[in-house]
Amino acid sequence: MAEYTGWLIDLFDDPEGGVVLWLLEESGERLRLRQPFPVTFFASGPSARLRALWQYLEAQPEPLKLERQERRDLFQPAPIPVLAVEVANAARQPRLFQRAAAEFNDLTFYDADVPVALRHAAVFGTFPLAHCRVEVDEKKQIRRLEPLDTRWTLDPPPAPLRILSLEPDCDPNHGAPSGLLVRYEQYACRLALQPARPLLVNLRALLQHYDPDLLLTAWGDTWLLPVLMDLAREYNLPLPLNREPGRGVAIRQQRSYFSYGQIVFRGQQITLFGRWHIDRHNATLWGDYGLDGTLEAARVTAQPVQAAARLSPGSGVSAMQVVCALQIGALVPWRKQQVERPKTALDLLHSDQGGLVYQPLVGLHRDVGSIDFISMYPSIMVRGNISPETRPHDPREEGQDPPGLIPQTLGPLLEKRVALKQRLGELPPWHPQRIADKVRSSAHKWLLVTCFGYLGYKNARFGRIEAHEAVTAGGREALLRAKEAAEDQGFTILHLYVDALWVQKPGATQPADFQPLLEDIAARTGLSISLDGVYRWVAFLPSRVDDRVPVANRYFGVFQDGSLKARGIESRRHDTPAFIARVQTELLEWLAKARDADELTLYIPGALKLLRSRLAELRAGKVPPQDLLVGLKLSRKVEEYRTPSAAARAAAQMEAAGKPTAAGQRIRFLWLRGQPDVHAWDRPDPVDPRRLDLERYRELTLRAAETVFLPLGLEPAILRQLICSHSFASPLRPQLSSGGGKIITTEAQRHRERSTEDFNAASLRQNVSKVSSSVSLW
Amino acid sequence: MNLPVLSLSNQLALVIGPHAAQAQMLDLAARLAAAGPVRVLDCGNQFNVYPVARAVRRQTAGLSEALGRIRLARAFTCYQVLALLEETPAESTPTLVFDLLATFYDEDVKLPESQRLLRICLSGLRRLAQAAPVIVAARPPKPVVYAERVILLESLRAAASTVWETVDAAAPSAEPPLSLPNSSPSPRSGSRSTPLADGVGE
Amino acid sequence: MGRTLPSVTQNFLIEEESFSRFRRALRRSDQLVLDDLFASARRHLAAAAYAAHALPMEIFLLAMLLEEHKEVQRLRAQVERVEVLIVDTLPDDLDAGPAPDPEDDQNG
Repeated sequence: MAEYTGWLIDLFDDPEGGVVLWLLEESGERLRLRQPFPVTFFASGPSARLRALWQYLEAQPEPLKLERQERRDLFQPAPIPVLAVEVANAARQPRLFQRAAAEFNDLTFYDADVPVALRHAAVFGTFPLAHCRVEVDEKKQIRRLEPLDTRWTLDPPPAPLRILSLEPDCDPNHGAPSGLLVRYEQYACRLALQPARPLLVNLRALLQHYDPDLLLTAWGDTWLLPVLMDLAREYNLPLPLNREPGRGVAIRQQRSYFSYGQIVFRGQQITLFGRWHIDRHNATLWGDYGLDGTLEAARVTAQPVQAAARLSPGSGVSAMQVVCALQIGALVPWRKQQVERPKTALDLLHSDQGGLVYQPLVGLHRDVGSIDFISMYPSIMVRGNISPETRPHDPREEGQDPPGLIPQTLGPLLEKRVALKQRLGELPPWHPQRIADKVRSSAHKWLLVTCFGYLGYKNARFGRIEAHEAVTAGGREALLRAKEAAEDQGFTILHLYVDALWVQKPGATQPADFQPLLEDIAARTGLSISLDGVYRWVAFLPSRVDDRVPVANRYFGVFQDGSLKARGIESRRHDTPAFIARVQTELLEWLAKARDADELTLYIPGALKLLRSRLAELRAGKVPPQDLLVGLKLSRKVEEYRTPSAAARAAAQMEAAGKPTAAGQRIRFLWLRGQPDVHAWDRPDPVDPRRLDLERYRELTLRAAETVFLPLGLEPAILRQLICSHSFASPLRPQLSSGGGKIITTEAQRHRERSTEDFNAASLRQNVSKVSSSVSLW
Repeated sequence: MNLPVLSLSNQLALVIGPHAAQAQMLDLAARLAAAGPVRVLDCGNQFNVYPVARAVRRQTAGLSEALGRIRLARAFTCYQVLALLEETPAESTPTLVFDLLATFYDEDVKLPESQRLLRICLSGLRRLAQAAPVIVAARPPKPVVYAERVILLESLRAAASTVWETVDAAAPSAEPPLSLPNSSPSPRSGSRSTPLADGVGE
Repeated sequence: MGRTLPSVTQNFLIEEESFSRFRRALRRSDQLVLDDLFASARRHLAAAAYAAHALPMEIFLLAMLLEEHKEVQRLRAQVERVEVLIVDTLPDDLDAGPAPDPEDDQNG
C-alpha cells in the first residue's frame, strides 16, 4: 500500500468499470489511479410498473443490484417508494438508463443523468484541484481517499500546474496563420505551420516531455486543434493530446440556443482526458476572470475544469444543487416536472414582478452615498429559507422549516464570497494577492447572480416559480424598508435600483456619516448591507430619446478616492468601438481630477481640448481600423432577416467569403461611406481606410461626449459649436445640488420653472420690476 | 351572462388562430370571470391580466372579486403541461387552456415524444371536459417546423367536438366574435344566436 | 423566465398609445402639454409597478396629478416669496396711497 498526497486534476468514468483519477502528486509526478465506483439511479411509479421494470433490468447484460427503497423527493411531502438500480460500471449507466427510460416512459426517474464527477463529489467531497491523500494498492487502485481541503477553503495550497500555451500567429477568422506561438514556463518559440511534419514531430515531443496539465490555446476548439488533428491523421503522426492512453479526444458540435430570452452561440468544443484544454476564445467569462477565475468556478461547483470553462454559470449552479441534493439524500429529478400551484389572477398581478427600478433624479449631485445590499437575492434565499420545498419567511425571523436545498447549496458560497470581499477591502491596493482574489470573487459573483434566475428557469431541476417570485417579493420589501430607514434619518433618495440606493443629506460627506443608516437598514431587513462609497459627484442621465425621461441605469460619477464608476454609457457597452470608448473614458478621467464638485467647471476647458484633439486624430486618419470596430450581435440567422440589420449585412459578407455565421454571434464590422456601407472585419480582404465613414464615427464620438457634458450643463448644440469654433472659455457654471437636496436637472436648462432651486434673492431683485408688472398687488 | 356556459355543455372545444386567439381567449376569460369561477391553464405564457381587467371593468364594478375567481396555473415545458393536466381535478368549473401546443412545437423535444405526450394530454383534457366545458386554444406551427409538427394540431383537432378558426389577427375589427352555434359545429362561427363574446379583444 | 405580464413600462407605453387618437386631434401646443403630463407620470413607474393595480391607468393618472400638485405647491411657494420681496421693496411712505395699478392704463 502506498500513500500519495496531491491535487486532483481529472476524474472520468473508466470503460472497464469505476473511475479514473489523475493526481498531481506533490513530488511532481502525475499519477493515473483507478477506483471502483458503482452508481445508482432510481425509478418511481405504480408498483406493477416498477415490478415490470425490475424484470426488464434483470434481463439486461450489465451487472446490477436492484432494491426497493424509500427516498426523498423534495417536491413531495413524504419519502416515496422507489426502485434503486445500482450499476457497477459507471460508464455503462447512461446507455442502460436511456433504454430503460424509452421502454418505461411513464415512470419517473431520478439521479439518472448526473455526471460521474458530481456523483464522486457528493460521495467523497472531491472537486477539481482538491488537495487529497490517497491510499493505493499495487494495481494503482484507490483503497482510501481523503480530501484535505474543501470547495470553500479560502486559500488552498496552489497546485504547481504545467501550462502549455499554443496560439496561431494571427486570428484564423481574419487571415491565414502561418505559424504557431508556443509558450511554457519561461520558454517561448514559434513553430511554422508548414511544413507539417516537423511541426507535428516537435509538438509531439513537447507534449510528451513537458507533459502539461493544461493546454491553453487560442481558437483551439474551433480551429487549432481540429487543424492539428487533421494534419496528424494525414501524416500518420498522432499527437498525444490526451494524457489518458487509449482514448480519443471528445468533440462536441457547435450550436445556437435560446437562453434567458437571448440567442447564445456556442462554438465547437474539444476536450481531453487526463489533462485540460481551454480555448481562451471559447471560454465563458474568460475576459472577466481568466484562468484563476475559471479554476475557482470549477472548484466551487465541483464541475470538471473543461466543463466549467465552457458552460454557463447556470450549469454551474445546477451542478452545485445536484451535489448538495445527493449529499443530503434528496432525489435529483431527471426532468423538470414540477408545475406551479394554481394562483388567482390577483396573485399573479402581485407576484409577477421583478425588482424595484426607480427613475433617478436626473442631473448632477454632490456627496452622494451609494449603498448596496450584499448579494441581495442569494442572501434572501439563504436567510429567508427560500427553496422549492420550504416555506419562506422574513429574513429577520426564524422560519418554521429546516434549511432547504437552496440555502444549503448557496450558504457556503455566500460565506466564501463575503469573506473574500472583506479581505479585498482590507488589502492595500498594491498587494499582488488582490488580483487573484478579485477574479475568484468575480467567479463567485457570477454564480450567485445566476442562481436566482435559475430558480425560475423552466428546465431547472430544482426550480420553482413560487420560490423565484418569493425572492423578488423579498427584494422589493427589503428595498422599501431601506428607503424608509433612509427617509426616517433625513436622507433624500436620489435613486433606487433593485438592491442599491443612492442617498444624500446635508452634512453627510464621509463614510462615517452613513454608518447609522447602514446599521438601521441591516436591522430592518435582516440582510447584509455595505457602503459602496461616497461620490464626490455623480450624474444621473436622462434617456437619449427624450431628456424628460430618466433612465434607471445610466450614470457616471467619481468617488472620494478618485475612482470612476460608470454604468450604461457608451464606454460600458459591448458594441461601442474601442476608440470611442477610450475617448469617453479619457474625458471622464480628466473630469475626475476635480477634487470636489465645485472644481468641475475648471476642468471643462481641458476636457473640450482633449475631445478636439481626439477628433482631429480621427479626421487625420490616425485611428487604426481595429479601434473603430463595431460589434453587434446577430439576433437570428442571416437568412431569417426581412430587412437585414447592419450586423446581418456584415454577416452576409462573411458568409460570402466562406465563413459561416450563427444566430447569437457577435459580428465585428466597420462603417463605410457609400455602398456597401459595412465591411465585415473577418473578411479575408482588408478594408480600404479611405472608405471609412469618418463622418459617422465623428458623430458617434460626439454623442459619447455629449453624454459626459450634458449633466455638466453643456447642451449638445453648444458643445458642437465649441468643438467647431476654438473658444476655450467655460461658458457656464453647472449649479450643483448641495447637501440640501436641491438639484438642477437638464430640464431646468430648458424649463427653468421646473427647477426646485431656491430663487437667488439678489437676482430676484433685478427681476422684481418685471414681476411687479404682471402681479396685481393690493 | 351565464348563458354561454350552460349552452356550451360539457365538451372539448378548440379555437385555432394566429397567436392562439389570445385576445379572444382573454376576453372570454373576462366574461366568464364576471359571472363565476373559471380555471385557466396557461401553456404558452399568454395570460395577460391587464386586458382581462379592462374587459371585466366594462361589465362590472366588482373587479377584484372577478379577478379572484380566475384560478391560473402556468406550464413552461410540455412535460409540465402533462403534469399540470394530471394534477387538475375534474370540476364543474369551465376551463380555458391557452396556447396548448406552444411547448409541443419546441424543436428540442423530438416529434415522437411530443406526440406521445400530447396523446396523454388529450385524454386528460377529455377527462376534464366530462365535468365542465373546456375550451382549448392553439396556433398552427411556425413555417420553419410546419410540415413536421402540423400533425400535432391535427391530432388536437380530431379530439375536439367543436372547432373555431379565427382569421386575420392584423384586422381586429374584422374578427368574428367567438360565438356558439346551437347545433352542429362549423369551421367559422356563422350563427350568432348565443354569442360568447361580443366585440373583440385588443 | 416565468414572466407572463407586461412590465410597467410596457403597460405605460400601451396606455400612452391608446390616447394617440385624442392626441392627434389636439392642437400642436396642446399635444406638447399632454406629452409633458405623460412624461411626469413616467417618473413614478416603480411605485406603479409595486402597486400591482389591475388597471394601471388609474395609477398613471394619479401620478400625473401628483406631479401637477407638486408644481402647484412650488408655484404657490414661489408666489409667496415674490409677494414678500415686493412688499420689502415697497417705498416706506406707504400712506401716500396705493401704488398705481399698471393695468389702469389698459382700463377705460
